Amino acid sequence: MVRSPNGPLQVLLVDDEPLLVDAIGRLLRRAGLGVIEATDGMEALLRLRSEPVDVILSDVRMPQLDGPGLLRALRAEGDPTPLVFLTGYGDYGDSGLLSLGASEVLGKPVALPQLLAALHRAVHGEAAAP
Amino acid sequence: MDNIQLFLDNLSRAQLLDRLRLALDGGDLGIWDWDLRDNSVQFDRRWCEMLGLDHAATPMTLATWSTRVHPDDMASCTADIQAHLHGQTARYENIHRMRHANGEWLYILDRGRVAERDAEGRPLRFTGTHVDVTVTERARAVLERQERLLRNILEELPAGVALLDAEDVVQATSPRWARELGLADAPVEGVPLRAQAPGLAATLAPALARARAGQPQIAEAEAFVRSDGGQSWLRWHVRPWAEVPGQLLLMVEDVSAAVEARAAAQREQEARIASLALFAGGIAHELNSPLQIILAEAELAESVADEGGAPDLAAMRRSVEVIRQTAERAAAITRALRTLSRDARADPAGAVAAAALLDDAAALLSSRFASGGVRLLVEPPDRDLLVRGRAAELLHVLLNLLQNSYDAVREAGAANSPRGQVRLRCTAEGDEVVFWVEDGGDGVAAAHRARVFEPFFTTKPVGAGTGLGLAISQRLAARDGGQLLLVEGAPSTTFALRLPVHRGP
Repeated sequence: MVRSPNGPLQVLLVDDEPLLVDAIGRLLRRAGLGVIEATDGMEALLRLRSEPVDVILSDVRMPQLDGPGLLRALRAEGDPTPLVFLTGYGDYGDSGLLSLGASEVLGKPVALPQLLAALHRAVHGEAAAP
Repeated sequence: MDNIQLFLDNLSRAQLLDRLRLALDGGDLGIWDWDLRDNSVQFDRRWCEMLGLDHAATPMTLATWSTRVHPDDMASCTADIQAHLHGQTARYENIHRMRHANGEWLYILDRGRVAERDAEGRPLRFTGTHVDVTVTERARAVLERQERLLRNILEELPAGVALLDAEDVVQATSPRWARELGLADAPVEGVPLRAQAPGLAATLAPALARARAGQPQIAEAEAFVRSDGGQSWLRWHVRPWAEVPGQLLLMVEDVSAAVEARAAAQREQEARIASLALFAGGIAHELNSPLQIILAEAELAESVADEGGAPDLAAMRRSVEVIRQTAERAAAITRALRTLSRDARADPAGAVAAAALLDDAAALLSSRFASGGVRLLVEPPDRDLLVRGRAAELLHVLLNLLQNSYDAVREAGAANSPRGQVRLRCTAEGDEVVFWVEDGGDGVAAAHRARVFEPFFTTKPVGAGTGLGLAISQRLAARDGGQLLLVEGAPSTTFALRLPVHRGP
């Protein structure tokens, strides 16, 4: 939806692991970001309709609608919100995911500084990375 | 001896005795002359000496002979005498043991004929000779024993043996030769090899030539088309026969069973590796999620600790608790992986806890199934159950059944729906423990039900459907007395893995 103009970065966190969503959600909030949570692609699409999001951080494999499905649906709707994949699979450099329009593909586990850097890159472009 | 019979035939008794004494003086013939009217017997000096008796002191009665005959030989001896006295045989001949005065047993060749009959044809005199054949009898016994030994060895050899002449004609064979080659009951000796086993003769031609040149040849397993058209695997060995130049000794052994068992074991091993790749391949993903949770919670706890003032202990406590839980979950996965990756082929069947198998299966598959929109429902047994088997193999079988069920649910489009589930249950039934794997898919098509356990049968697309396969799963289950069945009459697909309860230590 709409991007928040000047306030903290608003992140939509999508993963079917409740403990993971909870942990990363708290971590990002402590780092000063706004976090909205969803447990699969379907829920993520619903949240996007009603809440402002700057960047999406999404798992790849999820029930209902998976990560690639979510990204395709967004782009089909003309929604340009940047999306960073966070996947447990070894092949996170997968060009298939990038060619769908993902900003980056991160491999689990990722530490907070790298995660923040990737989210900022996705929103502001490479040059604006902290 | 036949010359002696001529004497007997042509000379009067008196003449005969004189002539024989002269002719055979110093020889090894002892003479007896039995008067059947009074059972007196005249034994000559040589007869007595043969048995170590003093001629002058020996009673000239039948008992002198009969008391010295070996009891075991008496029956056959009496029968031969009776047969001759009754005119059933032209002459009497028997080899029996007699006791020498020094206690040793001698083998005596006893021959004779009726020399005189009365007007009614009743025998009056019976005359004959003794020869000490102990040495030849002993030699014959040794030869017989050796021949029997040789025959037994040839029979017991796990190979058929044939002696080939310079033209590859079979000269002699062991009893197993025809059996190993699957030949009919036709005679094999005197028949060229190419006539009795054309396939073998063609295969062996170069080896036979090299063996004739002095180099023994051997092959561990070579395919061979039998005369009945079937195929066997033969182990063969050919070497020059030392006795006769140009002749060869050929040994063949049907090793089809071993070759087929090896091939089956090879297929099984490949399937095991495919199965391991299928389930262990996803382990990085299964472990990376818990690691992400642990890392994030650790970073949280650190940042809480680094805050100024009194740290929020409750927040730290919460992070530590999640870290502990998640590490335990990761440990369950690596534990299951350790069970799964064990090469259990050489292990004996032991006691396997049913609940541990269910835990391992859940640890490896729950989150993967959930990500695919399929719930894995695991219902542990209501009490501790031990089954007999090998944990690694049983876990492979269960995981493959569960994976098939997952695929069936996905193919049926039932993921993310109330039908999108796979149920793993365990129940005790008498002496058996039964693992039930049931899915919410469309069930096995009637046309496929009879074929699901056939090797290489699959309904999955090419490239998919790796893993153990149901044929090998069934064989692994059967190895320790278990059974893998497709349950008839179930509304959806249900497989039952029935295993014997473990008894004893």
